[in-house]
Amino acid sequence: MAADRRSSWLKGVLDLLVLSRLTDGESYGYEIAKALAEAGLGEIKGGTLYPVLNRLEEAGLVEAEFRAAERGPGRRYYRLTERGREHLATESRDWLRFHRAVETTLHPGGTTA
Amino acid sequence: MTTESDRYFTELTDALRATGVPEEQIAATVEDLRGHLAGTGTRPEEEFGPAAAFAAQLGGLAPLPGEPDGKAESWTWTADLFNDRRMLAVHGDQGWEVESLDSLGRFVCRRSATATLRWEYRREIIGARRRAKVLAELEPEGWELCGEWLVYGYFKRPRAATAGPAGALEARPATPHRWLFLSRRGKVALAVWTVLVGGATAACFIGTLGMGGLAITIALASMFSALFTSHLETTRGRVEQDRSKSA
Repeated sequence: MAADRRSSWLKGVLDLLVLSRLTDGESYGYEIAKALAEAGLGEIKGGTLYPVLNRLEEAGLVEAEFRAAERGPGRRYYRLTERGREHLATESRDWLRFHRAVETTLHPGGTTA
Repeated sequence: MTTESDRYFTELTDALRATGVPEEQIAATVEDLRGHLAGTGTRPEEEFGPAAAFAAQLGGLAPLPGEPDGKAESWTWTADLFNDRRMLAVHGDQGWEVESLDSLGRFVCRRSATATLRWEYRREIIGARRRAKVLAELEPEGWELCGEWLVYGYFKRPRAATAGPAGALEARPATPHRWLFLSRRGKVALAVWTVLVGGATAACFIGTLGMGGLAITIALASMFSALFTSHLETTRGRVEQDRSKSA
């Protein structure tokens, strides 16, 4: 049950989390998923990640390029566009505002223990 | 060994607890994993990978694959080893995602009502020695292990991993009625097996063959059928491997 709830939370913010993994430069699917898992957000499967990346690409928030690797078949690299950077900044502010409202509601006295 | 194993499972338990997995489920999972290790005699990290990453997989925090509303079609099918990759390619192009292989070696698939992905598949030999190497090579390319049968590991990857939005699903053909897809060689092997077993059963009824003889015939026919198909498959695999090395 707890895992289901966290899964629902993640759905609302996954696009922002993916964009945030591109602020320091380009990356590819596996690396993005690995970074999110290491941040404690759980394993993001390809079936979840790639529809998000596709949507971001179609919305012009990321650009992608397939590059052949020295060994192996190559990877599709994603990078943040200027529009994506602005979107991330605006939406992150809105998300944090929402997060603070939830926190205040859950802990009206200010304690988080 | 025991200490290392205990340390691993303590770390795994803590990680699962932190992700909200119920205590009962954690205890059952750890018990299963310990039982599995006792059977294989391997070290836990070697078998399951780092505890934190393994807990993330078991905890299932991420949303289900491409599934925002829980509505999905399911379909289970199978093919012989000569036909499996071709049929996986066909069905993957129709949006079917293999979730696992069941105990009978059938592909358990799902396709969400809002599916937007086509899938590609590959099959690799992942014996105990090759397993870590194959995973280390394929996972960074976006391949996920979706099932194992005998010495074979089946991997899946959304086409979008290499093609982006161009790899999206365009049409959603109806769920096939068929569930068995045999190659010509598979049909021949099955026919030979059926004739032998049928003949033995008939002989048993007539009284020229006892129950023991029937059992032995079925076992031998099954064994030779399996040996025949695996021999052909191994030969073909070697040819493909040599071809890819020389390319």
